[in-house]
Amino acid sequence: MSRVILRSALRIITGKRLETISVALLVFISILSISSIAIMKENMKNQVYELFGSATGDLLVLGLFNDTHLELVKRVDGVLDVAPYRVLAGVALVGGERIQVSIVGHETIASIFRVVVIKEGRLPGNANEATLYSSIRGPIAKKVNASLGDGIEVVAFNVSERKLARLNATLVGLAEGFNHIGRTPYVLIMNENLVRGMSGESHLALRILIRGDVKTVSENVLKTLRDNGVSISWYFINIREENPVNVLIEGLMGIFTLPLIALLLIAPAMSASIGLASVARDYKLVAVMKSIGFSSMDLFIYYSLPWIIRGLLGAIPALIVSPYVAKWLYVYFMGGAYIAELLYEAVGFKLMYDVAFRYTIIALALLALGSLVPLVLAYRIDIVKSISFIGLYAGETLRILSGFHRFLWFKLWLRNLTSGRWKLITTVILLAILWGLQVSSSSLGSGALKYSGLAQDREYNPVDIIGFVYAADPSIDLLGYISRIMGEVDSVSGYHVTLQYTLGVGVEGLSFVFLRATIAGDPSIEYPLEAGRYPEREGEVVISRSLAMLKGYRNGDKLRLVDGLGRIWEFKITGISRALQDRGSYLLLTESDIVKISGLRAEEFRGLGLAIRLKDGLSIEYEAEKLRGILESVESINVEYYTRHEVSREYSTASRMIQGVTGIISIIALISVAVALSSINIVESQAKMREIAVLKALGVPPSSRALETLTQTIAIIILSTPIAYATSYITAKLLARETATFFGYIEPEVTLNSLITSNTLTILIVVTVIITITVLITTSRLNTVRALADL
Amino acid sequence: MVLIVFNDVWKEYVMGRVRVWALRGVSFSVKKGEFIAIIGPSGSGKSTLIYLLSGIDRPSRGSIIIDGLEISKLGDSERARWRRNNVGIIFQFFHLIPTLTALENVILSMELANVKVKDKVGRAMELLEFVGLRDKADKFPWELSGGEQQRVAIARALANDPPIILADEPTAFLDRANKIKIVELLREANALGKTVIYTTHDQELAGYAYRRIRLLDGVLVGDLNE
Repeated sequence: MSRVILRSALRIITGKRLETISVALLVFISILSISSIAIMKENMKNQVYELFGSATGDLLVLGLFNDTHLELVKRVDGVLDVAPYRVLAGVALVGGERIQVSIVGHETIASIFRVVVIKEGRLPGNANEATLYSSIRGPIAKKVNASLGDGIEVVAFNVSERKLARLNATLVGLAEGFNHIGRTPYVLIMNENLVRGMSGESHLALRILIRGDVKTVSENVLKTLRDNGVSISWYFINIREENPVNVLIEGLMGIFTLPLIALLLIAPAMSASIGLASVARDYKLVAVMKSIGFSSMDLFIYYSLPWIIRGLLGAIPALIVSPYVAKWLYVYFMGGAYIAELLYEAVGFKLMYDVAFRYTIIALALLALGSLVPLVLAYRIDIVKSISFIGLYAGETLRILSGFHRFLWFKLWLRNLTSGRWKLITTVILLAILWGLQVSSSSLGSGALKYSGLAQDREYNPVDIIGFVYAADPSIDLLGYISRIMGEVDSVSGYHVTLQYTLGVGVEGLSFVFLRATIAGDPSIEYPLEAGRYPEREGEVVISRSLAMLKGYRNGDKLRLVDGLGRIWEFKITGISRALQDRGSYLLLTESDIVKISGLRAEEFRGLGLAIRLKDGLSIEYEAEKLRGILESVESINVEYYTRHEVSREYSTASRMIQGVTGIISIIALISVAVALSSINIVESQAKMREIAVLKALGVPPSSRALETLTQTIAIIILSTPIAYATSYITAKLLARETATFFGYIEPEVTLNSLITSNTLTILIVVTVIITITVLITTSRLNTVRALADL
Repeated sequence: MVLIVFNDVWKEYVMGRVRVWALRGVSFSVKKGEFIAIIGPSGSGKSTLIYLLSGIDRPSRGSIIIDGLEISKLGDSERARWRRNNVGIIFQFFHLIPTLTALENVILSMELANVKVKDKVGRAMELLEFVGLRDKADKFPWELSGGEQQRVAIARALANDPPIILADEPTAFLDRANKIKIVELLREANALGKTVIYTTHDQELAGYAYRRIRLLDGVLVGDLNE
């Protein structure tokens, strides 16, 4: 019998074309969108890992090494290879801007950077030439407008002579790529022999390849070097899962993936609801099937299998095309296609069918699960009752307003709504998903916008300028220099100087944890406290409100910090700060703790953080430039800064980005939900065909059915409101957590008002209109005579 | 007084690629207050005739004039409006609205026709009493037997006090006792001044009518008036 049933199931697929197309389309959209984003993300992560690996190996150690140290490292168990290279730190005057640069020889750059694109000119040929390489620029770094032929003045520390060197070169090339060395995005590529001469026999960086447990071997390498008197200024262990940029990418992609996962639920909800509607419509047929001996498997083949096959019709093309869509999206999002293509050549773009396959299986499994729901109803159908019942069937109806005999139509529509509980539940869920998604994104966007406003509020946010002062000359007493100038300049009302050290991942789930320690000035300018006090002794820390909200920390709690070697440092939280520039990654410690964690002595820090509050009524931009000019009056000093306006702008950019991305996803969700709900209503109209025909025969115009749908949709919207609110609240919180590593933790602004915005209303109206029109068309096409005559 | 004029009415149905003539040139007239049974075997065109008389469907050819109004020329919405006020319909499969109770199904007709009755509930209860179902007023259709459902359908048909009652095989799915009860109710409705036309293939039930019109293959083959 099963073969015959299978044949008739296949006929259902071709016969009910609208249902087939709707489900196939939904499955296609959901798998395609989530798979392509996931493949793009995995490729980006892979590329980041590979790019890091090319420059850092498994372990990169910065410091001052000689050949003896090199041999010692080679002998450490697990070390495969050690490649020394020379990187000098310096300050360069290029295109009228003074910038911090890493100086690398032209042969070295090719061996450590996977992608170097010469945009203009060429690499340097002699000691008087230089090529400026720039990587992805953060907000603090200055923008340089340099042209070929410009003169460059460089101040760098000559390691071999242990004194400051001044170099003059002509710019012969402009290059760009993805890698960068240290905190600056700029690398000055100079003649290899020149760099070698300035660094002497010393190696400034060791790129180490490791076999086995990278962390353990790295720890042994660092211990060996320290035991032999090497001062390590910085190190980085490249572990794919812990790569801080990859953690950032995860955070960024969170705004895509989380809403798209919700999209996956639409197809199974649709298969469940339309399947239920079909069984309700065919209740007599099901009773007959059961009476002539259909098994559960036969019912499965008849009612569930068509959904799975329909899902396959959407899933297979999605599986095939999603890697290519991912590649297209990747090129689109990466901006310049040329540099993206070079990245393919250097690292490659894997199509990753396994990722697409994983989501295909998930989507089909969910769809299959949804398609099983109608079988529950089929199982419950009473054979005798169903076959012997003559008339219109609506399942059990709730006695809503049974003693109240006014507004009969309204009562009829309300009861119809509740008698189709499957439809009610599914429709409410689908609508709540769509609504919740849309509101969650706007809530998060509103949260970011609120922070943007607070950043401009000088009462709430005391700091006007946040900068980093770098001295290429290690002999300069930087703290004394800064303190003296801050004391002398009239416009400064207060300042705060910090030691700064960065950990790749310091607190679980975060990327780039920035350690700070007050060494001069007033910490309340940069880190205004909301609770507690500043750290006074070792083991105490002030965290930001963002981190507290993200991880649920409270004042007095313990915080565990893990450094690159996996060493655990325990702190007691003594205060919570509301610093807006800190979105959850800055920890204010004591100076001695930073020294312990970094392994650097205080005098070995070549740059210091500087936060300034200006006197009231001054132009921030003007005063910031003036202060920079004063601080940079010493030629080896470089100052980079950003103002409260940039902090504010970053939040508003984040707001726009969140709203933009999730807005696109909301449109996809809108289309999906509109397709799903329209299909559900069409099947319901078919199921109620005779009832509609009777009403028409009694003199009810077709518009009444449309009015019923409209009223019911409004009722569904009202019923969806609390669920949508809960969905949006939970989704916004999840979204905020997902994106915390990229945007920082932004507290979403979820209010009842946020449920009804112009965007939300537009979406709801569009869905309602689509459903109503679809039902109106279906009803007006109804053949009353045939429906009335149909038993 | 002539109430209905059925003049050379033809009705064609298209089923897939097949064209079927359900009625072929049927003509008859009905006086106000008549009690008529349309009889004939399955497929003879009885139901089609009811659908045309009620204005649910339109003839392919010919004219139907009821109380001076040619309903076959009216548009869909005009016919729906006309039907609400002039016809009470009883269906073969009862067709009560499943989400409304017996009482509410009766009130629904009054709501549709916008009948100006102050106490709609009171009138609906009276009608349910008339069909012997006052005690089942708050039952949903699926809580009633077939005979009870059809009696509610009669009450619904009478609710807005229409001059014409049309019933399409109203007893087809009922036992003998219920069949007789339904036809007697129709006769009581006729006694109240309604023009009642019902279809049946049961000769015994047809015998309750004062006039019997016989159809065969869409053609009127007999018109017996007692």
